[in-house]
Amino acid sequence: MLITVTESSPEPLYRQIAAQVRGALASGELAAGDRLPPVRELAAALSVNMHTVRRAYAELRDEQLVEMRRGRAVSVLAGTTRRAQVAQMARGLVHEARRHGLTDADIRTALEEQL
Amino acid sequence: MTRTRTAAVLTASTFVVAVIAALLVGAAAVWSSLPPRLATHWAPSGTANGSTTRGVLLAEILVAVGLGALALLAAAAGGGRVHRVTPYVGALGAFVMIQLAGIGVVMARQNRNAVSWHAVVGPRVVVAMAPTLIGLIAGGLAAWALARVAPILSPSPPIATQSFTLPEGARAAWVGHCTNRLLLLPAVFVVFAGIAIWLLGGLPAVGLPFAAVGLLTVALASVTVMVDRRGLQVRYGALPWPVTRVPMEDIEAVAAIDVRPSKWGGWGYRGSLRLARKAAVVLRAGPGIRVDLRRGAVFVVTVDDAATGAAVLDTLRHPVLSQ
Repeated sequence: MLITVTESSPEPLYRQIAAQVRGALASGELAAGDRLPPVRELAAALSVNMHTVRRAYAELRDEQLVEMRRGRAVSVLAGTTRRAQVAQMARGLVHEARRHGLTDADIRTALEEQL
Repeated sequence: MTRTRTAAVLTASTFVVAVIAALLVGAAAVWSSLPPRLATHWAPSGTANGSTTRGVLLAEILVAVGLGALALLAAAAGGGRVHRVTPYVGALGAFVMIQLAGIGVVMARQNRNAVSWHAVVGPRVVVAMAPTLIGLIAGGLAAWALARVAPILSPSPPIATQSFTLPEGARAAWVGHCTNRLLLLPAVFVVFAGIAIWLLGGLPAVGLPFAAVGLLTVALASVTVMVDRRGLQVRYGALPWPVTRVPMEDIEAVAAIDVRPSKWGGWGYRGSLRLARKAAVVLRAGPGIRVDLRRGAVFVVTVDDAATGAAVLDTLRHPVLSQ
Protein backbone atom coordinates (compact mmCIF):
# COMPACT_ATOMS: atom_id res chain seq x y z
CA MET A 1 0.00 0.00 0.00
CA LEU A 2 1.45 3.33 -1.09
CA ILE A 3 0.40 6.53 0.65
CA THR A 4 1.45 9.93 -0.68
CA VAL A 5 0.38 13.18 0.95
CA THR A 6 0.88 16.73 -0.24
CA GLU A 7 0.48 19.74 2.03
CA SER A 8 -0.28 22.05 -0.89
CA SER A 9 -3.29 20.03 -2.02
CA PRO A 10 -6.76 21.53 -1.35
CA GLU A 11 -7.77 18.19 0.19
CA PRO A 12 -7.02 18.00 3.94
CA LEU A 13 -4.21 15.61 4.86
CA TYR A 14 -6.48 13.22 6.74
CA ARG A 15 -8.77 12.95 3.71
CA GLN A 16 -5.81 12.19 1.47
CA ILE A 17 -4.70 9.40 3.79
CA ALA A 18 -8.23 8.00 4.19
CA ALA A 19 -8.77 8.04 0.41
CA GLN A 20 -5.60 6.07 -0.27
CA VAL A 21 -6.25 3.52 2.44
CA ARG A 22 -9.80 3.20 1.11
CA GLY A 23 -8.32 2.57 -2.31
CA ALA A 24 -6.16 -0.21 -0.92
CA LEU A 25 -9.21 -1.69 0.80
CA ALA A 26 -11.28 -1.51 -2.39
CA SER A 27 -8.60 -3.16 -4.50
CA GLY A 28 -8.23 -5.95 -1.97
CA GLU A 29 -4.60 -5.05 -1.33
CA LEU A 30 -5.63 -4.85 2.30
CA ALA A 31 -7.95 -7.70 3.08
CA ALA A 32 -10.17 -8.69 5.99
CA GLY A 33 -8.07 -9.38 9.06
CA ASP A 34 -5.09 -7.31 7.94
CA ARG A 35 -3.91 -4.57 10.25
CA LEU A 36 -3.36 -0.96 9.27
CA PRO A 37 0.00 0.58 10.22
CA PRO A 38 -0.05 1.79 13.82
CA VAL A 39 -1.08 5.45 14.13
CA ARG A 40 2.26 6.48 15.57
CA GLU A 41 4.24 4.70 12.85
CA LEU A 42 2.28 6.09 9.89
CA ALA A 43 2.38 9.59 11.39
CA ALA A 44 6.15 9.40 11.79
CA ALA A 45 6.55 7.92 8.33
CA LEU A 46 4.61 10.72 6.65
CA SER A 47 5.76 13.47 9.04
CA VAL A 48 2.20 14.33 9.99
CA ASN A 49 0.44 14.77 13.30
CA MET A 50 -0.86 11.62 15.00
CA HIS A 51 -4.28 13.26 15.16
CA THR A 52 -4.29 13.44 11.37
CA VAL A 53 -3.78 9.70 11.03
CA ARG A 54 -6.25 8.95 13.80
CA ARG A 55 -8.87 11.11 12.06
CA ALA A 56 -8.26 9.30 8.79
CA TYR A 57 -8.67 5.93 10.49
CA ALA A 58 -11.78 7.18 12.33
CA GLU A 59 -13.37 8.14 9.03
CA LEU A 60 -12.80 4.61 7.76
CA ARG A 61 -14.21 3.21 10.98
CA ASP A 62 -17.32 5.35 10.57
CA GLU A 63 -17.69 3.83 7.11
CA GLN A 64 -17.47 0.43 8.81
CA LEU A 65 -14.41 -0.53 6.85
CA VAL A 66 -12.07 -1.00 9.80
CA GLU A 67 -12.36 -1.75 13.48
CA MET A 68 -10.55 0.27 16.13
CA ARG A 69 -10.14 -1.34 19.53
CA ARG A 70 -8.34 0.13 22.51
CA GLY A 71 -4.80 -1.12 22.79
CA ARG A 72 -4.98 -3.10 19.55
CA ALA A 73 -4.00 -2.19 16.02
CA VAL A 74 -6.69 -1.06 13.61
CA SER A 75 -7.88 -4.10 11.69
CA VAL A 76 -9.81 -4.53 8.51
CA LEU A 77 -13.36 -5.86 8.89
CA ALA A 78 -14.80 -8.76 6.97
CA GLY A 79 -16.58 -7.87 3.74
CA THR A 80 -14.65 -4.62 3.58
CA THR A 81 -13.45 -5.01 0.01
CA ARG A 82 -16.95 -4.77 -1.34
CA ARG A 83 -17.99 -2.04 1.07
CA ALA A 84 -14.89 -0.04 0.24
CA GLN A 85 -15.61 -0.31 -3.45
CA VAL A 86 -19.14 0.90 -2.93
CA ALA A 87 -17.93 3.70 -0.64
CA GLN A 88 -15.48 4.79 -3.30
CA MET A 89 -18.17 4.82 -5.94
CA ALA A 90 -20.52 6.73 -3.66
CA ARG A 91 -17.84 9.33 -2.97
CA GLY A 92 -17.23 9.75 -6.66
CA LEU A 93 -20.93 10.10 -7.36
CA VAL A 94 -21.47 12.71 -4.64
CA HIS A 95 -18.40 14.65 -5.73
CA GLU A 96 -19.51 14.76 -9.35
CA ALA A 97 -23.12 15.61 -8.46
CA ARG A 98 -22.04 18.51 -6.27
CA ARG A 99 -19.74 19.74 -8.99
CA HIS A 100 -22.77 19.91 -11.24
CA GLY A 101 -24.58 21.94 -8.59
CA LEU A 102 -26.98 19.29 -7.33
CA THR A 103 -28.19 19.56 -3.74
CA ASP A 104 -28.11 16.72 -1.24
CA ALA A 105 -31.86 16.30 -1.68
CA ASP A 106 -31.40 15.93 -5.44
CA ILE A 107 -28.76 13.26 -4.92
CA ARG A 108 -30.96 11.29 -2.51
CA THR A 109 -33.88 11.43 -4.91
CA ALA A 110 -31.74 10.22 -7.78
CA LEU A 111 -30.48 7.26 -5.74
CA GLU A 112 -33.93 6.36 -4.44
CA GLU A 113 -35.23 6.18 -8.00
CA GLN A 114 -32.61 3.60 -8.82
CA LEU A 115 -33.34 1.32 -5.86
CA MET B 1 41.23 -19.27 1.43
CA THR B 2 40.80 -15.77 2.74
CA ARG B 3 42.79 -14.60 5.70
CA THR B 4 39.78 -14.70 7.97
CA ARG B 5 38.96 -18.25 6.97
CA THR B 6 42.59 -19.33 7.55
CA ALA B 7 42.37 -17.76 10.98
CA ALA B 8 39.09 -19.60 11.58
CA VAL B 9 40.60 -22.97 10.69
CA LEU B 10 43.66 -22.31 12.84
CA THR B 11 41.54 -21.25 15.78
CA ALA B 12 39.27 -24.26 15.45
CA SER B 13 42.22 -26.64 15.12
CA THR B 14 43.90 -25.17 18.18
CA PHE B 15 40.66 -25.49 20.13
CA VAL B 16 40.22 -29.13 19.05
CA VAL B 17 43.80 -30.09 19.89
CA ALA B 18 43.58 -28.33 23.24
CA VAL B 19 40.36 -30.05 24.28
CA ILE B 20 41.49 -33.52 23.22
CA ALA B 21 44.92 -33.07 24.79
CA ALA B 22 43.35 -31.84 28.03
CA LEU B 23 41.02 -34.84 28.04
CA LEU B 24 43.82 -37.35 27.52
CA VAL B 25 46.19 -35.71 30.00
CA GLY B 26 43.43 -35.40 32.56
CA ALA B 27 42.37 -39.00 32.09
CA ALA B 28 45.93 -40.19 32.53
CA ALA B 29 46.33 -38.10 35.67
CA VAL B 30 43.27 -39.51 37.45
CA TRP B 31 43.32 -43.01 36.00
CA SER B 32 44.85 -44.72 38.97
CA SER B 33 42.60 -42.96 41.47
CA LEU B 34 39.47 -44.20 39.76
CA PRO B 35 37.88 -47.60 40.45
CA PRO B 36 37.87 -50.00 37.44
CA ARG B 37 34.10 -49.53 37.23
CA LEU B 38 32.75 -45.98 37.53
CA ALA B 39 29.30 -45.01 38.72
CA THR B 40 27.71 -43.18 35.79
CA HIS B 41 24.03 -43.02 36.66
CA TRP B 42 22.23 -42.22 39.86
CA ALA B 43 18.67 -42.63 41.10
CA PRO B 44 16.86 -39.47 42.26
CA SER B 45 17.65 -40.54 45.81
CA GLY B 46 21.36 -40.25 45.09
CA THR B 47 22.31 -43.91 45.08
CA ALA B 48 24.29 -45.15 42.11
CA ASN B 49 22.35 -47.49 39.84
CA GLY B 50 24.41 -47.55 36.64
CA SER B 51 28.09 -48.06 35.88
CA THR B 52 30.63 -48.31 33.10
CA THR B 53 34.25 -49.32 32.95
CA ARG B 54 36.90 -46.59 32.83
CA GLY B 55 38.00 -47.62 29.38
CA VAL B 56 34.55 -47.72 27.81
CA LEU B 57 33.60 -44.34 29.29
CA LEU B 58 36.78 -42.72 28.01
CA ALA B 59 36.30 -44.29 24.60
CA GLU B 60 32.68 -43.08 24.38
CA ILE B 61 33.69 -39.56 25.35
CA LEU B 62 36.58 -39.53 22.85
CA VAL B 63 34.33 -40.71 20.02
CA ALA B 64 31.75 -38.02 20.75
CA VAL B 65 34.43 -35.35 21.13
CA GLY B 66 36.02 -36.55 17.89
CA LEU B 67 32.75 -36.24 15.99
CA GLY B 68 32.17 -32.79 17.46
CA ALA B 69 35.68 -31.81 16.43
CA LEU B 70 35.04 -32.96 12.87
CA ALA B 71 31.87 -30.86 12.72
CA LEU B 72 33.63 -27.80 14.09
CA LEU B 73 36.60 -28.13 11.73
CA ALA B 74 34.31 -28.67 8.75
CA ALA B 75 32.35 -25.55 9.64
CA ALA B 76 35.52 -23.51 10.07
CA ALA B 77 36.90 -24.70 6.73
CA GLY B 78 33.58 -23.77 5.20
CA GLY B 79 34.12 -24.20 1.54
CA GLY B 80 34.19 -20.50 0.74
CA ARG B 81 30.45 -19.98 0.44
CA VAL B 82 27.77 -19.10 2.93
CA HIS B 83 25.86 -22.28 3.59
CA ARG B 84 22.86 -22.10 5.79
CA VAL B 85 23.89 -24.68 8.36
CA THR B 86 27.57 -23.80 8.67
CA PRO B 87 27.44 -21.77 11.89
CA TYR B 88 24.99 -24.24 13.45
CA VAL B 89 27.07 -27.29 12.56
CA GLY B 90 30.11 -25.64 14.07
CA ALA B 91 28.16 -24.57 17.14
CA LEU B 92 26.83 -28.10 17.62
CA GLY B 93 30.35 -29.49 17.29
CA ALA B 94 31.72 -27.09 19.88
CA PHE B 95 28.80 -27.79 22.20
CA VAL B 96 29.27 -31.57 21.98
CA MET B 97 33.00 -31.31 22.59
CA ILE B 98 32.68 -29.16 25.69
CA GLN B 99 29.66 -30.94 27.09
CA LEU B 100 31.19 -34.42 26.77
CA ALA B 101 34.52 -33.31 28.13
CA GLY B 102 32.67 -31.72 31.03
CA ILE B 103 30.72 -34.91 31.67
CA GLY B 104 34.02 -36.75 31.81
CA VAL B 105 35.29 -34.28 34.38
CA VAL B 106 32.13 -34.65 36.49
CA MET B 107 32.29 -38.46 36.37
CA ALA B 108 35.95 -38.43 37.38
CA ARG B 109 35.23 -35.97 40.18
CA GLN B 110 32.44 -38.09 41.67
CA ASN B 111 34.31 -41.40 41.38
CA ARG B 112 37.68 -40.20 42.61
CA ASN B 113 39.28 -42.39 45.24
CA ALA B 114 36.20 -44.56 45.51
CA VAL B 115 36.68 -48.21 46.36
CA SER B 116 33.56 -49.42 44.59
CA TRP B 117 31.11 -47.67 42.29
CA HIS B 118 28.13 -48.59 44.49
CA ALA B 119 29.25 -46.17 47.17
CA VAL B 120 29.73 -43.19 44.87
CA VAL B 121 27.41 -40.27 45.57
CA GLY B 122 25.68 -38.48 42.70
CA PRO B 123 26.69 -34.95 41.68
CA ARG B 124 24.71 -31.95 42.84
CA VAL B 125 22.27 -30.52 40.27
CA VAL B 126 24.47 -27.51 39.61
CA VAL B 127 27.48 -29.72 38.95
CA ALA B 128 25.43 -32.06 36.75
CA MET B 129 24.10 -29.16 34.65
CA ALA B 130 27.46 -27.39 34.35
CA PRO B 131 28.78 -29.33 31.32
CA THR B 132 25.60 -28.56 29.36
CA LEU B 133 25.57 -24.89 30.30
CA ILE B 134 29.22 -24.35 29.55
CA GLY B 135 28.74 -26.32 26.32
CA LEU B 136 25.92 -23.99 25.33
CA ILE B 137 28.17 -20.99 25.90
CA ALA B 138 30.89 -22.60 23.80
CA GLY B 139 28.34 -23.36 21.07
CA GLY B 140 27.09 -19.80 21.10
CA LEU B 141 30.59 -18.40 20.78
CA ALA B 142 31.35 -20.77 17.93
CA ALA B 143 28.19 -19.77 16.06
CA TRP B 144 29.02 -16.09 16.50
CA ALA B 145 32.60 -16.53 15.34
CA LEU B 146 31.63 -18.64 12.33
CA ALA B 147 28.98 -16.15 11.27
CA ARG B 148 31.63 -13.43 11.17
CA VAL B 149 33.90 -15.49 8.96
CA ALA B 150 31.39 -15.81 6.10
CA PRO B 151 32.46 -13.72 3.09
CA ILE B 152 30.53 -10.61 2.07
CA LEU B 153 27.68 -11.67 -0.13
CA SER B 154 27.88 -11.07 -3.86
CA PRO B 155 25.20 -8.94 -5.55
CA SER B 156 21.85 -10.67 -5.98
CA PRO B 157 20.09 -10.97 -9.34
CA PRO B 158 17.66 -8.05 -9.44
CA ILE B 159 14.04 -8.48 -10.44
CA ALA B 160 12.33 -6.14 -12.88
CA THR B 161 12.87 -2.61 -11.63
CA GLN B 162 10.23 0.00 -11.23
CA SER B 163 10.62 3.72 -11.00
CA PHE B 164 8.80 5.95 -8.60
CA THR B 165 8.72 9.72 -8.75
CA LEU B 166 7.77 11.84 -5.82
CA PRO B 167 5.84 15.01 -6.63
CA GLU B 168 7.41 18.15 -5.26
CA GLY B 169 6.49 18.79 -1.65
CA ALA B 170 4.94 15.35 -1.23
CA ARG B 171 5.75 12.75 1.38
CA ALA B 172 5.31 9.05 0.83
CA ALA B 173 5.20 5.81 2.78
CA TRP B 174 4.86 2.26 1.49
CA VAL B 175 3.62 -0.74 3.46
CA GLY B 176 4.18 -4.29 2.29
CA HIS B 177 3.36 -7.69 3.73
CA CYS B 178 4.65 -11.21 3.49
CA THR B 179 2.98 -14.24 5.03
CA ASN B 180 3.83 -17.89 5.04
CA ARG B 181 1.17 -19.92 6.79
CA LEU B 182 3.29 -23.04 6.37
CA LEU B 183 5.77 -21.66 8.89
CA LEU B 184 3.00 -21.79 11.45
CA LEU B 185 2.92 -25.59 11.31
CA PRO B 186 6.30 -26.33 12.96
CA ALA B 187 5.66 -23.54 15.45
CA VAL B 188 2.27 -24.94 16.46
CA PHE B 189 3.79 -28.41 16.71
CA VAL B 190 6.50 -27.15 19.04
CA VAL B 191 3.93 -25.38 21.23
CA PHE B 192 1.82 -28.51 21.56
CA ALA B 193 4.86 -30.67 22.17
CA GLY B 194 5.97 -28.28 24.88
CA ILE B 195 2.58 -28.35 26.58
CA ALA B 196 2.48 -32.14 26.33
CA ILE B 197 5.94 -32.48 27.84
CA TRP B 198 4.94 -30.10 30.60
CA LEU B 199 1.59 -31.59 31.56
CA LEU B 200 1.88 -35.24 30.57
CA GLY B 201 5.60 -35.72 31.02
CA GLY B 202 5.73 -33.75 34.25
CA LEU B 203 8.74 -31.75 33.05
CA PRO B 204 7.83 -28.08 33.22
CA ALA B 205 11.50 -27.14 32.94
CA VAL B 206 11.59 -28.61 29.44
CA GLY B 207 7.98 -28.13 28.39
CA LEU B 208 7.62 -24.44 29.21
CA PRO B 209 10.65 -23.22 27.24
CA PHE B 210 9.55 -25.39 24.31
CA ALA B 211 6.09 -23.84 24.31
CA ALA B 212 7.55 -20.35 24.71
CA VAL B 213 9.93 -20.79 21.78
CA GLY B 214 7.07 -22.17 19.70
CA LEU B 215 4.93 -19.14 20.46
CA LEU B 216 7.76 -16.80 19.48
CA THR B 217 8.19 -18.65 16.19
CA VAL B 218 4.55 -17.99 15.39
CA ALA B 219 5.55 -14.35 15.14
CA LEU B 220 7.80 -15.19 12.21
CA ALA B 221 4.92 -16.46 10.08
CA SER B 222 4.25 -12.95 8.77
CA VAL B 223 6.10 -9.67 8.46
CA THR B 224 5.06 -6.10 7.70
CA VAL B 225 7.59 -3.89 5.94
CA MET B 226 7.31 -0.11 5.97
CA VAL B 227 9.36 2.16 3.75
CA ASP B 228 9.46 5.92 4.35
CA ARG B 229 11.78 8.90 4.76
CA ARG B 230 13.17 7.33 7.94
CA GLY B 231 14.32 4.21 6.10
CA LEU B 232 13.07 0.64 6.32
CA GLN B 233 11.23 -0.95 9.24
CA VAL B 234 10.22 -4.57 9.68
CA ARG B 235 7.55 -5.70 12.11
CA TYR B 236 7.15 -9.36 13.03
CA GLY B 237 3.64 -10.79 13.20
CA ALA B 238 1.54 -9.02 15.78
CA LEU B 239 4.51 -8.34 18.04
CA PRO B 240 4.97 -4.66 18.84
CA TRP B 241 8.59 -5.37 19.69
CA PRO B 242 11.28 -5.95 18.52
CA VAL B 243 11.13 -3.86 15.35
CA THR B 244 14.01 -3.97 12.90
CA ARG B 245 14.82 -0.41 11.87
CA VAL B 246 17.28 0.33 9.10
CA PRO B 247 17.96 4.10 9.12
CA MET B 248 18.01 5.88 5.76
CA GLU B 249 21.46 7.35 6.51
CA ASP B 250 22.91 3.85 6.66
CA ILE B 251 21.50 2.74 3.31
CA GLU B 252 23.89 2.86 0.36
CA ALA B 253 21.97 0.81 -2.18
CA VAL B 254 18.46 -0.56 -2.62
CA ALA B 255 17.33 -3.35 -4.89
CA ALA B 256 14.36 -5.62 -5.41
CA ILE B 257 15.74 -9.14 -5.67
CA ASP B 258 14.64 -12.72 -6.03
CA VAL B 259 15.36 -14.29 -2.65
CA ARG B 260 16.62 -17.87 -2.69
CA PRO B 261 16.57 -19.22 0.88
CA SER B 262 19.66 -21.35 0.26
CA LYS B 263 21.71 -18.24 -0.43
CA TRP B 264 20.55 -16.48 2.70
CA GLY B 265 20.77 -19.28 5.24
CA GLY B 266 17.33 -20.83 5.08
CA TRP B 267 13.95 -19.70 6.36
CA GLY B 268 13.26 -17.41 9.29
CA TYR B 269 15.48 -14.70 10.74
CA ARG B 270 18.97 -15.46 9.58
CA GLY B 271 22.16 -13.82 10.76
CA SER B 272 22.50 -10.68 12.80
CA LEU B 273 23.18 -7.11 11.73
CA ARG B 274 25.00 -6.41 14.96
CA LEU B 275 27.09 -9.54 15.19
CA ALA B 276 27.63 -10.66 11.61
CA ARG B 277 26.69 -7.45 9.72
CA LYS B 278 24.42 -9.58 7.62
CA ALA B 279 20.80 -10.47 8.23
CA ALA B 280 17.91 -11.80 6.20
CA VAL B 281 14.24 -12.24 7.03
CA VAL B 282 13.17 -15.04 4.72
CA LEU B 283 9.57 -16.20 4.86
CA ARG B 284 9.46 -17.70 1.38
CA ALA B 285 11.42 -17.83 -1.86
CA GLY B 286 10.57 -14.95 -4.17
CA PRO B 287 10.60 -11.14 -4.31
CA GLY B 288 12.28 -9.25 -1.53
CA ILE B 289 14.01 -5.96 -0.79
CA ARG B 290 17.76 -5.94 -0.35
CA VAL B 291 19.52 -2.95 1.22
CA ASP B 292 23.29 -2.63 1.23
CA LEU B 293 24.44 -0.64 4.22
CA ARG B 294 27.60 1.19 5.23
CA ARG B 295 30.68 -0.89 6.05
CA GLY B 296 29.53 -3.81 3.98
CA ALA B 297 26.45 -4.81 5.92
CA VAL B 298 23.48 -6.31 4.09
CA PHE B 299 19.83 -6.73 5.06
CA VAL B 300 17.22 -8.62 3.09
CA VAL B 301 13.51 -9.12 3.73
CA THR B 302 11.06 -11.09 1.63
CA VAL B 303 7.97 -9.01 0.89
CA ASP B 304 5.22 -9.00 -1.73
CA ASP B 305 5.45 -6.29 -4.41
CA ALA B 306 9.08 -5.73 -3.49
CA ALA B 307 9.65 -3.86 -6.76
CA THR B 308 7.38 -1.01 -5.65
CA GLY B 309 8.79 -0.95 -2.14
CA ALA B 310 12.37 -0.84 -3.41
CA ALA B 311 11.51 1.90 -5.92
CA VAL B 312 9.91 4.02 -3.19
CA LEU B 313 12.83 3.50 -0.83
CA ASP B 314 15.39 4.33 -3.51
CA THR B 315 13.53 7.50 -4.51
CA LEU B 316 13.16 8.64 -0.91
CA ARG B 317 16.87 8.03 -0.45
CA HIS B 318 17.82 10.65 -3.03
CA PRO B 319 14.68 12.50 -4.05
CA VAL B 320 14.64 13.72 -7.63
CA LEU B 321 12.06 16.43 -8.05
CA SER B 322 9.55 15.60 -10.76
CA GLN B 323 8.63 18.32 -13.27
